[in-house]
Amino acid sequence: MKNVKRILFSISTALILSLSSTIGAFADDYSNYNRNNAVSYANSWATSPNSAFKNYIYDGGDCTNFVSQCVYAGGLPETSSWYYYGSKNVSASWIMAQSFRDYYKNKVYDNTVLTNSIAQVTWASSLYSKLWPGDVIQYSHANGTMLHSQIITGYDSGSKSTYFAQHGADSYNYFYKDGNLKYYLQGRPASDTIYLCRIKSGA
Amino acid sequence: MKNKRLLKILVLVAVVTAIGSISVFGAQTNVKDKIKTLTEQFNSKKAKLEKTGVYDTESQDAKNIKKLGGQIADLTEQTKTEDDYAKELETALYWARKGLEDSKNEQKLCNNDKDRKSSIDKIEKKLNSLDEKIKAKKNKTSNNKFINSVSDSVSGNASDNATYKQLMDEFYKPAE
Repeated sequence: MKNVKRILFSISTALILSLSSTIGAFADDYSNYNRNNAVSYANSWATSPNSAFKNYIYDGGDCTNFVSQCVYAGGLPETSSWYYYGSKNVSASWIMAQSFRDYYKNKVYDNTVLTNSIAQVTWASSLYSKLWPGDVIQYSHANGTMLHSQIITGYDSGSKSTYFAQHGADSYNYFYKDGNLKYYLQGRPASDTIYLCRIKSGA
Repeated sequence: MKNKRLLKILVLVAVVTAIGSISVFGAQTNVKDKIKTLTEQFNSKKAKLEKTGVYDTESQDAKNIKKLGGQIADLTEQTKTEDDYAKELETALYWARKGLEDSKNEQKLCNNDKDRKSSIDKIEKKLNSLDEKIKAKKNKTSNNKFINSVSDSVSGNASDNATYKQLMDEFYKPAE
């Protein structure tokens, strides 16, 4: 009887330890996220895509593929659910806005959701003060259909502006850096939904 | 005697106006100096925070930097000239057009949703209208003032009289 108890105790202890180490490893991975590296990658490859990765410009759009490359350059680790091992071995979460969101929404530090109309009115408190270089911003139709992904690359002091880089679909005219988010939002329907994917808070 | 009184009044008015101008200029200079000092602080604190690339965005330091950025932007607003607003409007329209183009392209992902299409059309109309007003203002500046005032009175269009600041305010109004 004593032996059975001992074995059960050992198994439960092992399980708890393994679970806590998994959580620990996970947190470590995000705390190592280097915003400068993500931004540097974004600025380097915003207008001329990195040929090491497949370009999805004519296959539905390259926005999320580009964002994935940026956050990967920042140090977010590939996993069995989020990876790029070549053009024929890539996860949906790496290249599709909806899958990227599904994968990261419960893993990142904060995942605020708001409508574009609210974002415009509360710009300074809801976006300027919250988004940091290396964070991700996504858009969906009001019905939830995911549409687009961008990466934040900077902010200024003179006009409460936040800057982003992006890839797009069908034309290289939609690939750019130093985009001004405050003004960009004015060109999008007020009913669109915005998702702030704030990767981490702490150092 | 009357002339002397008139002269005194004129001198007084001139002195008051001069003092007023000097104090306004002085206040503007003070604000500009303050902006310069705060911007130096902002840049220095920002560089320090972001040095390693791995930093705490919820720390008091990080919050203070964004707060300082907001403070500088508010002060900058006080010193903006019409030229500044003109440049800002140009940038604003450029990036709003980028947002508009992306939104148009995304329509195919939204099954060409009619409500969204209607919003996009309204935004485009607003941006076009602002472009037209800017064009009219530029024409007015380059053409003879007399010819413009005649054309204004004929067309009844006084929209090119709006200042760039007013056009910037119009830019932020919801598209209708």
